[in-house]
Amino acid sequence: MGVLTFSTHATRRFSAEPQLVYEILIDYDGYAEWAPLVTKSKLLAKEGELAIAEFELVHKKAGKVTVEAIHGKNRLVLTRVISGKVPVFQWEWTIAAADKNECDVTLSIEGNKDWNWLAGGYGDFMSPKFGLDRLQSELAVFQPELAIADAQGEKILELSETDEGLVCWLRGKKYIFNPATEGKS
Amino acid sequence: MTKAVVNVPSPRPHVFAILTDYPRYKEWVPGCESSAIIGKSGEATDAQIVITGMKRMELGLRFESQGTQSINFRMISGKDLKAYTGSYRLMDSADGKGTVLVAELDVDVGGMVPKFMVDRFIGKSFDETGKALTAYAKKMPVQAEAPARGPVAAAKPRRAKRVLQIVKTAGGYNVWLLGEAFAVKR
Repeated sequence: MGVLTFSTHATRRFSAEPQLVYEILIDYDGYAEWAPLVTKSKLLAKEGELAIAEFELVHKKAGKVTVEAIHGKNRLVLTRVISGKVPVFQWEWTIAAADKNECDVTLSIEGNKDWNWLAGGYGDFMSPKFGLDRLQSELAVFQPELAIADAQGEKILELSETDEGLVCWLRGKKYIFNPATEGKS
Repeated sequence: MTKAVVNVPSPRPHVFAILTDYPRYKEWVPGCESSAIIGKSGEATDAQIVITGMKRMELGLRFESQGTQSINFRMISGKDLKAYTGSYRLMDSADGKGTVLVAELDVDVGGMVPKFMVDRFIGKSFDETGKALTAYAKKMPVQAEAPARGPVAAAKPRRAKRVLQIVKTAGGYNVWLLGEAFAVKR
């Protein structure tokens, strides 16, 4: 690292399969739901181990941020900024299997050392700890069983977003909802 | 190395055909005065190109293509630059409607020109070339109709994402909402 750049990292153990972590990290359309400061996210192209994605941030002056990401199956997601005015030029997520259904995730961030970025509200964007916090929240969305011991009670209601639509289980019966067409009731 | 991504709303074979039609570069590449093929061997094509940017430059470039996926190029002759290398990588867009072009260029102008100035110029040049390519691809008739593709992203089903779960227990209700758990006692 030079005098004008920084490198920082953090590691955390998650109660999740490495595959689930990996699936979240390569779901570029879903980054807006959890990644710090990202308001819109879109996968532009994906071929083999390479993906191109585009993000929009809370900070409009950043413009559209285009990234390229290289994947190593269930182990690594390396994302580099191609265009966009952001202080970070690389995020590297490494996933290492730990005990059963657990994994250690390390997030390393490299970027430009400039206090103006921090003053501009980019602190969360440059913090690996905050990035891991947000990933943990997203993991929890896929794992309600960790928070609720449903074996001890009767599952009354469950709502899930799936490719079929919004699936609702109500007292053992399944219902599927689809978005209403705009302008129709 | 300066990189750029251009989203071209045209099929990949069409965009590839335009990028490898070197004699017609003067029809769409901003600043291109002339372009002529001077040699060809297998997938490699040598072209003599005159381009006007910061100054007028005459370059001999060797283009090497792989399938319809990538084109690498490098300077093989010319006195105006020390080095000029780059590539175009073409990918089918995830929405199935076009091509995502990843362009890379590394230029060594020699002398005392600061690198940031060169990079800024290349960035601007990428923007203009991307717009010109998009417009030209739209104007030119598509020679070979690409097979219909569905969105790439839809190929693999997404994992179900839980939103809400309510479990009735002896002591009340356990409510789980978007990653947070709440206990409601009787």
